[in-house]
Amino acid sequence: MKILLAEDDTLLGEAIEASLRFEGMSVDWFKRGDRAEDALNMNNYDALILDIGLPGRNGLEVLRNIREQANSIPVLLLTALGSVTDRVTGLDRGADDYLVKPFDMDELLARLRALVRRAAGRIEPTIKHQDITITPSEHRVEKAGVLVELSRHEFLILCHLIENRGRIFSQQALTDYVYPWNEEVESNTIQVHIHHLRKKLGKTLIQTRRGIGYVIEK
Amino acid sequence: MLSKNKSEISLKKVFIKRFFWGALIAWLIVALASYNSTRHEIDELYDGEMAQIARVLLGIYSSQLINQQQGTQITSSPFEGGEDYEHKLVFQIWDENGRLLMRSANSPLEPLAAEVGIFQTRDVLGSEVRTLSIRDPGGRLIVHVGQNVEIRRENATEILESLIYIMLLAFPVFLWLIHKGVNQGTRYLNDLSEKIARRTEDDLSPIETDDVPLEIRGIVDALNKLMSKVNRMLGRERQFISDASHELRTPLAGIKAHAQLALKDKGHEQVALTRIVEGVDRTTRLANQLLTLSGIDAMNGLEQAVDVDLRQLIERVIEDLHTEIDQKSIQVITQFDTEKRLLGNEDLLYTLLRNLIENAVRYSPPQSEVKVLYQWDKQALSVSIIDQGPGIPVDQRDRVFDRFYRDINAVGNGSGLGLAIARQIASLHGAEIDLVLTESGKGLSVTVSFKQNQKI
Repeated sequence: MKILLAEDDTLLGEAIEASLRFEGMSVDWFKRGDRAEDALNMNNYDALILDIGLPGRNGLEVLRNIREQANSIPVLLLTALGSVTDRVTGLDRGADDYLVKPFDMDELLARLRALVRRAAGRIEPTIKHQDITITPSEHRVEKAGVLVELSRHEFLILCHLIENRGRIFSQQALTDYVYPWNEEVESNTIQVHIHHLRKKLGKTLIQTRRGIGYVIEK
Repeated sequence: MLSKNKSEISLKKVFIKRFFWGALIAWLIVALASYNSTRHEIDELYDGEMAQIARVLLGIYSSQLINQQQGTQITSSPFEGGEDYEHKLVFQIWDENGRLLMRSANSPLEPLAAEVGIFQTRDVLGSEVRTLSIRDPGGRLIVHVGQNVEIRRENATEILESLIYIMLLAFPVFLWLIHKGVNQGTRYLNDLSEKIARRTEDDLSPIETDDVPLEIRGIVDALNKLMSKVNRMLGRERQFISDASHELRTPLAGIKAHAQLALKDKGHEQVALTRIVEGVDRTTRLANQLLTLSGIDAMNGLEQAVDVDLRQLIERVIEDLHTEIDQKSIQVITQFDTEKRLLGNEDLLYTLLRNLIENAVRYSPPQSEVKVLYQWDKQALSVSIIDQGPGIPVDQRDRVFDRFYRDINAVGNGSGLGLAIARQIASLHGAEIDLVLTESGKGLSVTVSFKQNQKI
């Protein structure tokens, strides 16, 4: 999962970013509302964690803008006020869920996964493909009932390809998905990850489309 | 309701009382006037009748030439008995030699009228009598006719009485109509007070003036103005609470998130502990600032103002900030041009100076200069703090004093309350804070000038 985080507070932003990374998610973090909105228009994210009190552009404004552009990305709103009107305003503006600060990090993670699951049209908390079962909340992958150890990046790539079965992803697209926007990445990194995934899960699972990219067939 | 007011003034009572007395006085005047004019009419009517009777008597008597003995009285006078009014009639017929030829039974033997040809009211045998005497054209006969005035009075009184009866019947109806009318008028007031009473405390929208009577539109307009003022104030208050809760809850959320991550990820422990300490410090500072601000807000003026030596305060602030100053190798230059002292609250003035000097240090580039000047100029004591930082764009110079306002390029983890507090303290001391660009165009110059409050 690749998450866009829009939070101006360094203390909280840093903690959320680290927690999401620890859970095997990829995170792009912006402190300004307008920058976050720009990033959203340029990259694919599975969900947006949006603080309301953002400099540059207020969180609720960002939310209205992205919904006006018919962007249906799941949005989890972070608010400091727990009053009913505030929550209703947020949900009315197009938020899918909200959390009142200070929140429980496990609750944030659970809600985030639920949002992404719902957006992908799944109801069960696991993803199944052939003999592979993925449990995102536990960061767990099984092949024919046997646990397979995957690195964080391998896990991200596998989830992304399986969630979007039939779609071809270029090396660049996968790099953008797995690594934060401001991180330097070596050119063959994705190739290395794919190599490891094939070794652990079988050679036929991920197909190479020469000159285009990688795909997991439906 | 109006009657529940302390003053117990009731418009309804006032209206009804005034109407009642007004109507009563008007009616009395009308009654008196109509009584008088009725009496006059009755006089004329009866006088006419008396004249006619006198002429008829004269006509009959002179044409028949009845020659009767002096003092003869008609016993079967057509005027005797019968109607009440007739009973009071009396007449005499005299000849030219002063002999009484004929008289009615109730007539005295003396002439009724004193003068011939005019109406008179005289005293005849103890009762008031209206008299008239006429002479025949030949001058042989004189007819005197008299009528007791009482009959006229009775008539007028009867008419007056019937007027009173009508009024007594009409007055309650009149009062009832007034009451209804006044009620209708006060119903607008009741409707309005009900409309206001039905409002919830967060409904401060203006009252519609369409169905409000002109007389109380002024009150409603004034009320609407007051409500919009309160509304604006509440809006600011809500914004403040919203901002304060954001500023307090965000670091708490950060502290909790770091702690929770450290529980799962041992590698994060050191970072988390450092951040938690930072977060607690920040929250503590914010809590202190909020308390300071609400303390200043609650003040009505400077209580217990004392002699303050601002030079000493400035030196104390610089001393207390030495860690930050040394970290960035900033050179703080002080220049005290006056020894004047100030009347004020020492703790608050310390906070004011500290907030301003701390800001200057925070936004200064490393190895730069911060100047603090204490001057007496144009009858005002002033403290100027001049830094070599980025300055504040003109369009933001007012907003930086707003509570929780933080510039998009804000440095450090300030709460956005420092300048708001500084301004509150300044205005409490009758001082103003001006932000200007420095002469060199780089850096900011903040000047606090104590214009109204100075002690020499």
